[in-house]
Amino acid sequence: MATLKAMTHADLTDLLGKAMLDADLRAKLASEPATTLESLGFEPNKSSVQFFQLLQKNGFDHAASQVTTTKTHDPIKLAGDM
Amino acid sequence: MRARRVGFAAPPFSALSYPSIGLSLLKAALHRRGIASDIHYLYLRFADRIGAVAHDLIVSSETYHALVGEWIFAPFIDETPRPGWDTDLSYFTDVFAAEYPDHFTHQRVHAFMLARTHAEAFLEACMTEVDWSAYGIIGFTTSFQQNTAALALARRIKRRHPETLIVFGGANCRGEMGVELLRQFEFIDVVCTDESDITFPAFAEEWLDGAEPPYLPGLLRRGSPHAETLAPSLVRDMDALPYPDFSDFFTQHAVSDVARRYYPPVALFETSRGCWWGEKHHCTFCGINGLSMAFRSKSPERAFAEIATLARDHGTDLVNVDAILDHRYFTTLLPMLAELPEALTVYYELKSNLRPEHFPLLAAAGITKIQPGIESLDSGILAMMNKGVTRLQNAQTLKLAAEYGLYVEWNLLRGFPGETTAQYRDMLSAMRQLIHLQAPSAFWPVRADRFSPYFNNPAAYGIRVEPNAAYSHIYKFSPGATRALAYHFQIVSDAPGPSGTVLSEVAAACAAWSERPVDAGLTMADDGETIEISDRRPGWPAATHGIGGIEAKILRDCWRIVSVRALSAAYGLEVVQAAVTRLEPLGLLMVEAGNVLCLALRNTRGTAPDWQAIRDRTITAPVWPDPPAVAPAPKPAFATASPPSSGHALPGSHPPLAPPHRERAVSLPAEG
Ligand code: SF4
Repeated sequence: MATLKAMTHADLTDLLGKAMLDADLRAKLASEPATTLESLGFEPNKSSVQFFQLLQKNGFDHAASQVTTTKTHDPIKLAGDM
Repeated sequence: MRARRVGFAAPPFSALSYPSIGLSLLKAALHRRGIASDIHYLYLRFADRIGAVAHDLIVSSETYHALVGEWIFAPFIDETPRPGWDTDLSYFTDVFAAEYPDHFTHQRVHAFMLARTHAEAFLEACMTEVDWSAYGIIGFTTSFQQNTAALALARRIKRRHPETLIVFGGANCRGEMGVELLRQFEFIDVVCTDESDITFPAFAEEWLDGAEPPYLPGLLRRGSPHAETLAPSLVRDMDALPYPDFSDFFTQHAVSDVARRYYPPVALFETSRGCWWGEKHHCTFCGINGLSMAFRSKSPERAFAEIATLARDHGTDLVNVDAILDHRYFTTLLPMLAELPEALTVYYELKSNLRPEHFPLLAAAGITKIQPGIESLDSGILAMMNKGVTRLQNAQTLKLAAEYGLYVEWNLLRGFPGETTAQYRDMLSAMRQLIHLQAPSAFWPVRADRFSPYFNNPAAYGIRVEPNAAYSHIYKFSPGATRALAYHFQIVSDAPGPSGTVLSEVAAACAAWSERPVDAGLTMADDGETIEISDRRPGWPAATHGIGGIEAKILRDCWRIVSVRALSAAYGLEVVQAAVTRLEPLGLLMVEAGNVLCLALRNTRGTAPDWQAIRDRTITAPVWPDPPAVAPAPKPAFATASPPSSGHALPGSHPPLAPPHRERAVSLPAEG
């Protein structure tokens, strides 16, 4: 089995960006954070699992927490925000 | 030979519409001494990297006390970030999600992470894009959430340009915080621990000329040959200050992709420092004036000239940065502003004990966005915080502001030591009555900021104060050092507070208030005989009340706060009591401590206008009513403090207060 790596902030940014565009990945991270992180090659440590559990409380899996914005020409759009 | 030029850095994070007034004043003061300077608005550059949406989420007032901006740059204070910094999620799990559970969303976290992944490259870009070697002194301003970015960049500059003097100033350097900055960060050479308008330019001139600067109060210097103290060097003569030089900001704003697109640039101006109320009755939570509460203001002529110049150079939208409006300006500066050929749109903070005649003056002067420090709708809680106003005065402010087309920014604060469930139950019924007026922006826990009475003497209030939880994720120092660097503190109390249920109900009522339908008003039409009141407020039965006779007279008199005693003198106690007993349960009158206020608006709109309508200048003030038949209520004893006289010559050539019969129309020409 390949060695699992600690998830860095850059990894997390990337993962959140992908998850915002991928309902399936979101659902998996929300319902099974430990196994999903592991399957992606990350150590499912207590902190990262808790992190996704807390996000789930605010509707992460169905992206109910979208921030609405009128800034439609933002040079760097947040994935999934518009 | 020292480079005879000063560089200033305004690091992330700060509001993108506004320049740094502190640095802009220093730039102008240095110019008077023949010293050139450049202000580098680095927060504009960082916003261009991360985008407007991420920037908005980071600086959002909704989550301000999580200090996200400080967290983003914290690892880079050291040139080599601490091991494990980029896998540590405890800030999110222990601080952000704990304090703002409803705001802990994937989109926010993504924005914060995105900003953090840009932080180090941004610092490197700052090093290469600006020629810091051109400066003999580099000054950093740090207020609110600018400390960690300032520290991270200062360290890098000092390492590469050790000959350059690094100076820190701004609100985060006041008092003990400045002492601790100097103690913890060896790359800082000088800290300005309070106002430095006089001392910094004097110091800079000596230093850049190669001389040994003398002792200057409030300026702490590493290895100083002088015994230094924290005693600030306050500006006594406000008229002696230069006009701020905003040229660098407007130039850099114009080339910032994010700022020019979404955040119109706005010039700031200052007419006073300190607080005339706080000098006598310091609000228990307020630390905004630091060590310099003494109230000082510009002469009206000088203030007018500066405002007119800024409006000519930078546009008629202006934001004032004072803690509190000088009440003398109502008869001096405001009438002068009202005569300007182009209408202004000005923001001011003031005190909620405004008199009715102040509202048309504010509107005519273009002071259309006000922050009157309402804070609560319970007189007992207002007394606990030493605010010097009552619920009825706050209600009158909201009502008359709505009538005269003033936008009121205000928050409800909770968590004052000693407050009770009963007080919040009572507040809920007041909120139900006032729902047609401007809603609070938020329902927040009160803080015990540094320099506040809560911070200075917590035992007197039966509380403890602890630095915001975020600080331990920002600075990796001992608890004592972290405490010394902190500005925001939270109140810890073992005393039982209001029930969670009632606080949830108030939070829900705030949300409902801000979402009320636009036509949910309470209007009052008067044909001179009968008053017709139309009630469309949510939570009240939709009704039209035709009111005549003495009840109509009483309603007319109560357009502003009037005492029952005065009404009784005019109409007889029994009649007044009968009218109040009938009209109060309908939510038409607010009654408190023997005083009465009619809540219906004297216009056809019946609700607080939105900001767009005010900006578009479509709000026309009510015709000033007939002279009241009864005297207004006497002021409560604690609300009588007036600003100290500073000997300003009041101009005799400006119009006095508007006569009561004059129609104060504030329907002004729209901007092009
Ligand atoms: S809250 Fe306002 S009125 Fe009270 S002391 Fe502070 S600045 Fe003065």
